[in-house]
Amino acid sequence: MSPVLTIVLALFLALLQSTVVSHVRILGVSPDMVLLFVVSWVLLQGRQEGLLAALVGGLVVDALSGGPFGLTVLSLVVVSLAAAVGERNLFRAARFLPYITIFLATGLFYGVFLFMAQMTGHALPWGPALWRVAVPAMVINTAFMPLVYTLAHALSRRLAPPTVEWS
Amino acid sequence: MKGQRGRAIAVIVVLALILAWLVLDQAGGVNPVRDGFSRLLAPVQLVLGRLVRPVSDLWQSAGHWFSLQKDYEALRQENLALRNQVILLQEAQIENENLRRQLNYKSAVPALELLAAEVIGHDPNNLLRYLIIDRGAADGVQRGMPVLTAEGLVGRISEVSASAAKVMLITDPSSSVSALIQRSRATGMVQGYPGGELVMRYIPQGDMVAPGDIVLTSGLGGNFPKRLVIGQVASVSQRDVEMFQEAVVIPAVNLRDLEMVMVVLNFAPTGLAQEGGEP
Repeated sequence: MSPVLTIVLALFLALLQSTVVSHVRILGVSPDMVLLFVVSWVLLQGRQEGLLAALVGGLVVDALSGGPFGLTVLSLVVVSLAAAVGERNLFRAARFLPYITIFLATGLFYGVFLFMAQMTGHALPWGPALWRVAVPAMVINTAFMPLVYTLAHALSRRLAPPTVEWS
Repeated sequence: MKGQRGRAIAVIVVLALILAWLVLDQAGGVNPVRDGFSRLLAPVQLVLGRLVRPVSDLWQSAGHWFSLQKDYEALRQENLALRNQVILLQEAQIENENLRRQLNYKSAVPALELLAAEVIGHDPNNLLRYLIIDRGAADGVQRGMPVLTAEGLVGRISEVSASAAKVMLITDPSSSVSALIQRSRATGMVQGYPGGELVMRYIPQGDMVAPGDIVLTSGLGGNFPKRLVIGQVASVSQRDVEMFQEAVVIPAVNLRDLEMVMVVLNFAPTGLAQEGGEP
């Protein structure tokens, strides 16, 4: 798979999240399109492509966000590495794998973000942040995963037929 | 020979009958016969006419088919163009109303030098509440300047580039605004809360606060001008064992669907360091 496509998709989704998706609020949160894409890409294209998506998408989200620069990219890199571990250790073809992965990945993403924010002196209240944002986001991202994963899967099969990875 | 003679007689008889009919008709003598025929034939004509009309219409339509198709296509194109025009006009009307409201607000508060700006993006992170506007340092925007709409306070500028700026909304968890209750003059601090809510904290126990009360900026600390509307109290939490009361505040501005805002250019904030932990 050409890294250019991964970069273009990550850029596009980050912009989409800032302009359009941020207006869609369910349970008080918007679906995290970049996070959804990173997790899908790790599962479909492997660790390297997922890491690239995390780096590019995270940088753009950080640039568009008012928060401290670097927190999103760091959180997404951690998530992509963790998802890659899960992808290698779990049965890859399992139907439920994308949904379990995004559910856990969302929790991990917000946990890492809050921890890093605290470490850099931008502490957010953990309780309300987890209960009012992270938990609803885990549900909403899991609900949006079929859509994003199916589109990413179709794109992935069309542009780069699956190959066997030997580790 | 006999047959020819018979036919000639028949023709003569028919002609004679027609002539007689014509003469009688001139004199009005055949009217009863004509009426009788009409009465007999009218229902048949009606039924036949109804039966034949669709076939006739279809025949005519088939004749017009090609021209109708052309007309339909032309009308469809015209309809699309008109619909686009209507949408553009509606957009212009909304923008016009927004600008008119801002202009009214500008004339209502002549002391504030306001700069209109368009919202071009929202924070993509669910934990944070920021906006991106299309005005920056080149337009005179500086960090710390208050941002508002005619409905009330939106936030303040947190980051500025040459042609754009980021606005920290009052609902961001790092935001904190000195406030007072309009009715009782009770003071407190309105802070953002994860999930996009506002909470007014540090309201002294004895002070009166009730749902429906209007919350304004107090101007204390020098970060915001005085008397800007923040929102309305939705509920109050009071416990005798605690030093302060808390109130949940509904923002006066619908911060989710903002399209236009105004930056207060002639207000220099003095206490950024005290609020929000920013340098």
